Formats: sequence, structure tokens, C-alpha cells
Amino acid sequence: MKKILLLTLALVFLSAAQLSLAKSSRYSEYYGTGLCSKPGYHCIKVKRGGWKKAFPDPIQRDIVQRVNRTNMRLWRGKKIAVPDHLGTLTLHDVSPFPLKIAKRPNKLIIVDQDKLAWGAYDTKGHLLKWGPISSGKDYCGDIGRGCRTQTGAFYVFNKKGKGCESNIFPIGRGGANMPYCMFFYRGFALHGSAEVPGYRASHGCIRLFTRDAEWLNRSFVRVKNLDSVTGTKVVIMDIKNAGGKKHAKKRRRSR
Amino acid sequence: MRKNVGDLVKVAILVGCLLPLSVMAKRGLFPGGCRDTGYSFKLYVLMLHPEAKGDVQSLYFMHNKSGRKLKLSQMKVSRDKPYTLYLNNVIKPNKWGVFATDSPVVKFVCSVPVRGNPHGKVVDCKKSLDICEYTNVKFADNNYGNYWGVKSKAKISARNDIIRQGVLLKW
Repeated sequence: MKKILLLTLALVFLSAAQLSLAKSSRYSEYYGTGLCSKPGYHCIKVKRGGWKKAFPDPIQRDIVQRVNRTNMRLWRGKKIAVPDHLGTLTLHDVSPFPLKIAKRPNKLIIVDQDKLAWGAYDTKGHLLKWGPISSGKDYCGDIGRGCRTQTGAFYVFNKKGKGCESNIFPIGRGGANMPYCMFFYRGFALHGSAEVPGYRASHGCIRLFTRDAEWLNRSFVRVKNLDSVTGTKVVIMDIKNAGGKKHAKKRRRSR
Repeated sequence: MRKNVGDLVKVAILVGCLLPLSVMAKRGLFPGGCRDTGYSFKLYVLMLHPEAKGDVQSLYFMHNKSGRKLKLSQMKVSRDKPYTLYLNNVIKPNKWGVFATDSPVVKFVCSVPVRGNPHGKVVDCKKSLDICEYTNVKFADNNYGNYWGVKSKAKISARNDIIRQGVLLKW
């Protein structure tokens, strides 16, 4: 009886520790519940499940989804951040990126893995649009190694439409949907997804809201020519806030 | 007088013999086809200037000879702060990092870890690195850009990795 009690206690303790670790690794001052204490934001617990029920207005729903960096199912009791004066805000009012940067020869997509966001700038340096991302996680169990997104500055060299699919994932079969994929480095691509969960969860690709990927693919991205470097530049920023090596190892062990 | 001239000639011959030997030793250190060019040192800073060779995209192999973990931190003269990409990397002792770039100039500061100082101690890049450039390298369309192709590996593994990534090392 004692043994069972001790075992139960140990299990409860371990799961609580894992939960707190997971929460700490997913906490950021830039989005989601990390904004609760920031001026201009308040946090609520969702009373009715589903995005449409919680935020019937599509524009307001879109802003709240972007602020929380997720398009996944919203359940009752989940805590989310909501900007004050939601009815009068635009996307640029809650942007994690500056609205203007220096002029540049190429159009630019910045992918900031700490902010879990992408921003699209034109050659004049104006921010045209931004949105949430989910990039490569620290460790992928199915391939048995780390699968963070390659950092650096690249060019979009290929793009496909709605029917774009992975050749590799799921492992052994391929066929995972990657709508409106835009490849920037080898097999790494920006693509649409219905699973942008508010943390880094991919095999290395950059998941975007599908409507964002469609806009980028159709209206923004220019593919690099064979003989010149005129394509849209993609800058993948390094992860500064990864929680350190110790945390990464612990996270790996816990999976 | 004649004896002095004779000594001078002997010294000149000796130096003449030793110089090519040192160049050959350096060549042996680098992977085949990688040339001792396309970079310079200014004070403690490493400057890569691949466009001097007229190439759009270039590839550098860097060997950490310092005997300690060496951090290369990119220096920026930027108008876009804080939205600039810092291509930093740590190369382990006696390992190689491979850096691909299409920028006309890239600058790095070298530092080694020091207890109690999270930024480490700045060291002379010239004394800590052996560098070479593949001047006639061919990149596939899917791997253009600025990035560390290999972060820290043994010479053969680094070369094989970069070939596996689709970079054609021609010379």
C-alpha cells in the first residue's frame, strides 16, 4: 500500500515538473499569456469553446489568433491574451516587428523564432504584413535527432501551390500537406498549416497560417532567378531564448 | 668580405627553401582545392571579402587552431538594428566550420570562454584560425545565402557534409 502511494506521489510530482518545464519553455514576453502583464493587453479564460464562438467577428478573431500565435482548437478554460480596444485595432497595431526598416534591394521575410512570427517587408522597408509561425523543434523522436530550422539568410528558390506535399514526412511515406510551400534552403520551406500551436513544433519547416502562406505565395514572394540573386530574401533568426542546454536535454529525456 | 657574402647567399638559399615548405604545409592543412585567399585580418577582427574574387557565392573553411572552444561573433555595420541576423558560431578545438556567404564583406570577432564572463575573452582571430576559400565553388539553386553549412566537425566530415548539401567543390 505504501509503495503504491509513494509511486503515485512520484508520478504526480514528475508530471507537475514536466508541465512546469514545458510551460516555462513556451513562455514568452512577446505573445500569448506572456502579454498578460503588458499595457494594452488583458487575459481571459475562454468561456465557450471554439474560435468562432469566442470571437464571432472575423477581423477580431484573426488579431487574437495572431497575438496568441495559434490557429488550433480553442477549448473552454484556456487562458489567452486579448488586446484592449480590440474593435478599433489593426494588424499593424499589435505587430512584434517595426513598421519601417531601411531600404533594401530585395523584398524580405524575417522569421523570428523567439517572437514566433514572420514579417514581410517591401524594398522600401515598409512592413506589409506579419503573422505567427511554428518552426523546427529541438528534438524529433521519429528521426532521432534535433530538427531545428537552419538559421541564416536565404532566397526563395521554388514555390508550389495548394497541393504541395512533403516527400519525407511522415517518415517512410511522405505526403504531409504543405500548402503554398516556398522553399528557401534545401528541403526547408515556409508553408501553410492548420496546426500552428504557439510553440516550435515542426520538423524544420516554418509553419504559417494557411491564409498567410497563400498571401505570401501569390502576392509577395518572388522566386530567385537562375542567373541572378533577385528573389525574395528569407532571414531565419537564431533562437536566443531556448532555455539553455540543460533544459533542452531535460525536454529530450521527457519525450 | 667574401666570407660574409657567402654566408648571406647561404641564408638566402635556406630561406628560399623554407618558404615554399611552409606554404606547402599550409596547403596540406586545407582540404583539396581550398585556397589561402579571400580574407584579411584587421586588428583582432577577421574580414571575409569573397567578392574580391568576383564570385557571387563563396565558401570558407575555418580551422580552430587555438586549442580552446572558439566563438566567432559576426560584426554588423547595420542600419536595421535590432532586425539583423548575427551568424555566430562556436568551433571546437581542432575542428572545422564551413561558412557560405554571398555578402561582399563579412566580419567576425573571435573569443574564447572565460569563467565568470558570459561574453568570453576576445582573442586575435589571426592566431586562432586557419582559413581558406573555395574560389571556384558551385552552389545549387537551393543553397544560396549566408549560413554556417557546418558548425564544427573534423576536416573530412566537414567536407563530406558540405558536398552532401549539394555544394560542388571545383578547382
